[in-house]
Amino acid sequence: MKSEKLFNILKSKGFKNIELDNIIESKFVLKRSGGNFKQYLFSFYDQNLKEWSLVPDLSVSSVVKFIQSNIKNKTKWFYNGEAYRKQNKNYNSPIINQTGFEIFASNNKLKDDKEIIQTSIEIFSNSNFKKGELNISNIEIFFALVDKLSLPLRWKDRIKRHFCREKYFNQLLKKLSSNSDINPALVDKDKKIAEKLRKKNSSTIYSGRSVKDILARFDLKNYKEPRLASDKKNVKIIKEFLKISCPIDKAPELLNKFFKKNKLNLFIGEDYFPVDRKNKKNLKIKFSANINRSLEYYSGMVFNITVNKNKKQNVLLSGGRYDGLLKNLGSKKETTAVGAALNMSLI
Amino acid sequence: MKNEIINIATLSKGRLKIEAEKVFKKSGLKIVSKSERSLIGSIKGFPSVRVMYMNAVEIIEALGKGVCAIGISGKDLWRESEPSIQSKVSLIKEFNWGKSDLVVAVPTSWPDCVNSADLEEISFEFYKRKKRLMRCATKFKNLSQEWFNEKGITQYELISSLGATENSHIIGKSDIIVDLSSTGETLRQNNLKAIDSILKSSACLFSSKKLQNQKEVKKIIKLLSK
Repeated sequence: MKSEKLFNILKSKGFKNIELDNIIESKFVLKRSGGNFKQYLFSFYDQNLKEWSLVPDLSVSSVVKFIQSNIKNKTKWFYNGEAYRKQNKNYNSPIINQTGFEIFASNNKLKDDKEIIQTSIEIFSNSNFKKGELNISNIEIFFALVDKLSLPLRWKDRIKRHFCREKYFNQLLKKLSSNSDINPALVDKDKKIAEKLRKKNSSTIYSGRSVKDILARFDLKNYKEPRLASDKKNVKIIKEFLKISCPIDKAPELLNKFFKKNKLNLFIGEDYFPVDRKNKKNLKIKFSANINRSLEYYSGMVFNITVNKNKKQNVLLSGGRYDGLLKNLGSKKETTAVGAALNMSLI
Repeated sequence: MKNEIINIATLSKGRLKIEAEKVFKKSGLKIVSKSERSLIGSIKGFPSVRVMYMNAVEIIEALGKGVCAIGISGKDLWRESEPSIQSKVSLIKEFNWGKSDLVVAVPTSWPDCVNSADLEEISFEFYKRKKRLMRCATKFKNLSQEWFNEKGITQYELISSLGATENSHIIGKSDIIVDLSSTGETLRQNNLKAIDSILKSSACLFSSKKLQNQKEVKKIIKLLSK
């Protein structure tokens, strides 16, 4: 599909084309992705020692533009341009061509989710691919499931926080089922240090942390919410949930059956499936619990459209809801956001 | 055919210089230099070989750039070097000296921190309560970054340290450190405890991938790696 045709589809759906800056203050990228992302940035300092980077991802740039534009009403826009990221061990080009479309500040989330998915389906229908698969999930379902498990709160937070880092997430589950992170000898030694700290002034700072904070966390971990000997049962539930993949029309029944079987007191309603339940022409529609896990800012509905190229499944389009991101990047109030990005090398 | 000079790099200072010279001696390669302070030498019986006394970091760079064919340096420095350098250097042999662990160390006054999962949680605590990233002082930015990435820790900032890293948490330059530790005594003396080991390092024999297949170079590698 030619870019012009793609842009016409987006314009016909009411998305306005916007131009994004080529540079961004590094703090916005680091706020979204953490210090670890620094290794991918082409960054430099201005004369006021403010750190800037070539834009590594246009979606962050787009969100920052929306925040800085002070728009209060529902806004639909799309962008197309180059992002720049250092490549680690492979020798791919550091220039990435990105196109994305987004809806900000709307009050009807379900309608917007449907609109983003519908637009994506239309782009797929106009592409050269004859067959595809639309996978839909919702991070909220996973988070609700974790909240219902009998785990210490800090472990629930940990599992939710690292859902987007699949490799580390799996290591966490391993730790949870084996207790491999607990050394009884060290725990005893640290209990003695904690007792000494209790005699100090609670506002004393040790390497950036107050005695009060250190002891609060120590007590929570060792006395108030100690880990159970083994959490194998909970780990099994998490793993089984992430394996769920079925036609979208069977998803509510199957999920509710799964929750009932595991006594989780959860019920999934229609809101979680913002698409007509019937397969579109040449497009299978599925619920897949284990998709779009690489981006940590997704907060609700997530989806992707995969196509077959050179006998491999490739993601043509992916997106989701990221309501928390705007606040995280400096918006003064909670602002809703949903969008999708295209794999331009396939388009 | 013109005989090209083969540069061999070895350590220029201290106890490690003496240990490296022992390796040459044991391999039957006698280094001859004009004086104690001379930074260039030769090897008896190998007229085309030049021995260069260099800083350990520079040795890895010289190997990566193909300036030197063979070198003795630390595994930690090789692993810390940029991918463009590291990929051009082969590790031939790990010696039994110059040993140390690259460790992640936190203050002993943090009894609630015993592993990477604790540190990950604490890094979020910094962000929530102090509105800043947790600071880690280190000379090993690349290896530290790899470890943080592997352990799922994202809320951190690396602070460059050129020396005396162990006291940077006391003077307020950082909150935690990543540094080399041989016996753990310096950590203990500076109120630090290791919570994980990133790398077990020792002195190693390296070669430049670009030059390692030359006949004379192969011969010397064979002797040094016995």
